[in-house]
Amino acid sequence: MAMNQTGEPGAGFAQRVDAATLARAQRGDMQAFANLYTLFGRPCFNLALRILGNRAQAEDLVQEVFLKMIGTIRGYRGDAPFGSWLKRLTVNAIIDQLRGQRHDADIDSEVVELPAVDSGNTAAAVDAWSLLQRLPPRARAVLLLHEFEGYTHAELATVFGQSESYSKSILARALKRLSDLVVTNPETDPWPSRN
Amino acid sequence: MAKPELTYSELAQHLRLDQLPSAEPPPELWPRIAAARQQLVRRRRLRYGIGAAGAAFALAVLLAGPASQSRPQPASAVDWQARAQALELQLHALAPATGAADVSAMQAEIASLDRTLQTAYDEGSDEDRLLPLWKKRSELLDALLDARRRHLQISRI
Repeated sequence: MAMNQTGEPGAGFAQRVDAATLARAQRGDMQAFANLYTLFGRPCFNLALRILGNRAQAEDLVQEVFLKMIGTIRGYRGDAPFGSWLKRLTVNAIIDQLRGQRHDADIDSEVVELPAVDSGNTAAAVDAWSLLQRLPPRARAVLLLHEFEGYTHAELATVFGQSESYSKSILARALKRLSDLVVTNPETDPWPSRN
Repeated sequence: MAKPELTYSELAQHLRLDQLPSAEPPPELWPRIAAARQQLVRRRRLRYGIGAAGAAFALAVLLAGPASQSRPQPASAVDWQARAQALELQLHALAPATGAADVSAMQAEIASLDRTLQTAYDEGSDEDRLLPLWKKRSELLDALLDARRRHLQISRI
């Protein structure tokens, strides 16, 4: 059921990088890095923004990821497409950031006001973005990585340093919460506060 | 009445999850990243330069031994950067400064010189500009070391 981030082949992190640009980047050529940013800055920023839900944090994360990419690209051997490698750097940086956030904030943060919903035509009125922002960041991360970026539960377990059942449980609760929000009752909270 | 639970595909359809808005990163983000990279490189270069100069100086002292003291060297042959590094180490080995006026003035002068040096490295200056700055720094450190030792002796008396 996983969806591609954009639905287009060769878009986002799936874009191809020509060998000459890669070789120049591996020699430390800043113009080559600028070209890579032109290709991947946007998907990197959007993934960070969707999960972190905050522009400033997303910008900082893109900076962190590209600095890391510049510093480690010599070690990139081309075993996976460059975009996949960069996406892994991005996801790891996002997960690191989420790990650093307090649990309380994780559960309760960023409740964004829902746009006005016409009860007669929910599907047309509900803003997916706003609804996703009502999920805790970890839940958003699991949902977006699993459903949009094609991560398996085994891969999510690895990046989160948890078991597969952790990621399955988070995903199930995220979907239930979204479902609750969409169907009728936006007050339902499947994420009880931890004490 | 129990709430109907949506399947994922129904949910995705309702929310149009495949059409999430895509935002453009701000135009100043790449220049910011490039500047951060430049700064990182400069800092590493400076650190590497100081470290390498220190190692070279230590090696030179070991190889030359006492013979070097009897043979006067031309000013250009002195590695002022390495000498400054060695003096810095000696300074750190002394007890903390007591805040005497001459010591404070020299420390301020060294701090100012360090800023000039940093600017020189930032601008990619060549040896002709860097060498006199390192020489000056070395001389200031020499004077500071003398002053610190003098103060230490006075405080012991």
